[in-house]
Amino acid sequence: MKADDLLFISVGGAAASVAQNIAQRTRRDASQPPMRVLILDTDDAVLQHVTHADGVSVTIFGTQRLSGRGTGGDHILGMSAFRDDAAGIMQQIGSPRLVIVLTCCGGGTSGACEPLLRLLRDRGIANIVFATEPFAFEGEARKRSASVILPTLCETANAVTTVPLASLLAGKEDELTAAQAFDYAADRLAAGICLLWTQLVYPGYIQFDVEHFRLFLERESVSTVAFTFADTIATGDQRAERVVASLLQSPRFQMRGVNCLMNAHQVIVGVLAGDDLRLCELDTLMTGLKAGLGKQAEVTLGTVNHEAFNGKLEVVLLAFTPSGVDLPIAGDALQSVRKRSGKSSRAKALSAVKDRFDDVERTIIDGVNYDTPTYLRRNIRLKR
Amino acid sequence: MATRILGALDIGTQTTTLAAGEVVDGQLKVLRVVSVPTYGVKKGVIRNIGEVTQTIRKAALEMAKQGLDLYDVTTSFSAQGITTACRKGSKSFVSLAVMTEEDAEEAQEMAFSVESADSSNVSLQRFQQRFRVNDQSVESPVGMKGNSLEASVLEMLAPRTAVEALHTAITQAGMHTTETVFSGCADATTVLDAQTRSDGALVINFGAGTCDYLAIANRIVVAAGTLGIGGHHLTNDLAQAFQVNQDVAERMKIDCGAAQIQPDLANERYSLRSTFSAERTVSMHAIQTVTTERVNETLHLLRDILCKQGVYLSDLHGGVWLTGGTAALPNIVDQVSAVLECPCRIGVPLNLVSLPEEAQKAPYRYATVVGLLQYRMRTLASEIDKPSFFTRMRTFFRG
Repeated sequence: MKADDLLFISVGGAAASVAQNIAQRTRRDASQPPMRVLILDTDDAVLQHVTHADGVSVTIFGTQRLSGRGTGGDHILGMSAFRDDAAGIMQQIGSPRLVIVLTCCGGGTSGACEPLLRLLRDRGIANIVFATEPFAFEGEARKRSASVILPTLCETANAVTTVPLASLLAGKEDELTAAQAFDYAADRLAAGICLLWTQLVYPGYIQFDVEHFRLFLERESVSTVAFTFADTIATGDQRAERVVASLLQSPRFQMRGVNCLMNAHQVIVGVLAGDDLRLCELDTLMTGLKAGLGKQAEVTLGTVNHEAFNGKLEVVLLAFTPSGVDLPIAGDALQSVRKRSGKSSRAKALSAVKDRFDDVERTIIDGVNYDTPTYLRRNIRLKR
Repeated sequence: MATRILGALDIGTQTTTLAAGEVVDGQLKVLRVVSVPTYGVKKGVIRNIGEVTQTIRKAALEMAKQGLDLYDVTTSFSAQGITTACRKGSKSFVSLAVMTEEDAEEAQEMAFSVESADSSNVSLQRFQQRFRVNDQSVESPVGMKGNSLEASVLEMLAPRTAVEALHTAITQAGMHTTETVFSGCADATTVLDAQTRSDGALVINFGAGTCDYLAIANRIVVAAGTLGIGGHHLTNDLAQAFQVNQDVAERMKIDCGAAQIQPDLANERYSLRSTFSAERTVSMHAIQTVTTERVNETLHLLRDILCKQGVYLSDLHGGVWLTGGTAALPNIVDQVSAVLECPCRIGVPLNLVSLPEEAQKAPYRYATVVGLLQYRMRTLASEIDKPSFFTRMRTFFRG
């Protein structure tokens, strides 16, 4: 894989700290180029705390409009600010094969994601969006803002994975203070995205690289997802059995009483091991994990073979669960939007007609984007 | 004495209308109506103040050509983001007391003085609700005995930036805003007569950018609001469905769009003429499916919203009144009646001495601007009957 094939973009102040965490994690291994990271924000004060490092670019956009003071929670301002500087930002992005976008919904700058994703789509750059949903204690205004932004992302991205911040605290809710909760959630999210990155960049026995992931994203059902993940490491005898037990019992896959693994439609199993990985261990792993998954689950296996893992077996489970199972914000209506957006993203890219409501606040009621043509949302076939 | 000329300005998403009128024997005579295309507005929200200013100037110039220079105008407001809140004010009495008009006013004043905690919104209009005397709902508390009196007010809140942008554009165009009225309220002012207000009615202004609604029961506004869905959504749906630009889609909508599929046209085809490419035809059935679905969905959404606000259309015996440009869509009256299960009619301005010829062809399009003139007329009349605090002070000092 070339260093330029994969790009991570964070949009907004909260996402910037996750981006920095990711940059640090991916720099630890000198054998691979660090992930290229682009941090986008409108608030000068937030970006002053970001440490500049190799491969990390920091860009403040919309300075003419906002003077580097942020959007004040207004996502329309975030959208307009991005449009002001879109040309320059797209030049910075270049032509990667895959872009991972992270935004923490609830703030105003996340409004920039929609025009960004449209431009990526127009250029044929595959993308996956990790959109976090705010904690319940952050208040109704942020929750409402997130509910407005999420459907627009679902329409423009190849795949959107929503990550409720609360789900990242699994098992730690009682221990953490409110301030620690943000840092912990950011750290866990960075870890999850890095695990995905590891799968994509390290060569293995069973290949799962950027091109495989592109295809994975373009499958219809992938867009209807909430993202959950867990990883575990084991050494010694029966390490495969212990890994299976640990993953299936992980509290991370229990979201609001729902077993995400049983409901997952797409599961990526990433195996990180050294040369001592035996075939029977792979068999044990896959048989054991499949027993904990629903019948509908499509499992993709990728292995990473690296000397750093000699004697160890680390397994990462990335589960993409249908949104209707656990998404509290938008419910069924959002699910229907997502289902459509997944398949038709390529079809939509062919559309030459400009959407009249591109540059105006979307009409979103109860999670449904009413600017999307009714016949499309209702899957009505026209007798042309 | 010179007759006072009233001015009204309705900046719609598609069309800006400026009207001038005068009061003749207590009734409104609309003298002139000027309409120009609007630029810089989407879903009722001003996106470009400069373009809107130019639009207003153009309308004012047209009006000046017809011999009328307007400075003071009553203006309408309708935009996505309008919300409503119920404010309450109360007065308690130590012992059982007979309520007076002053008591009612005092309770009302207290309700009016409750302000929104959200500074991003500004109060657009307030509608007085029923009073409660000792927890019993009454229309007027005057003369009743009780220990407690509660007044309620339905307040419409509009996004501050949108309202300020409207006022800025009007000021920049060299005019002055006397009052800003919710466009649904302006429509109801002119479309409904006293009997219908008493029976209860729903007025829907299905415009290009928004769909405004206002429900009245027993002469009291019980629900009002705006949906960010309008005729432009029909156009956009057609543009997306048939991959044509917005202008062609608009023409398509006007030529053969409908709110119900017309069986006699369903098998015919609509020709998309183009200068540079071969003729392309589109099924009329497909066009009408797109428009029907959108209208149907919007009406169901409206019904659900009203239901959530506690308004049941079966209680509104005066029926539904439809105004705005989208009211021109064939079969829309039947479709509204079918979905809302309530008789529907096209709303036209009432209680007028006359309406200019250009407005007589499609009077429902001018309901808002005529309603604004009548609203202003009533405000001036009420100021004469019951002068405001400042008017009273002025009169006092003048002696």
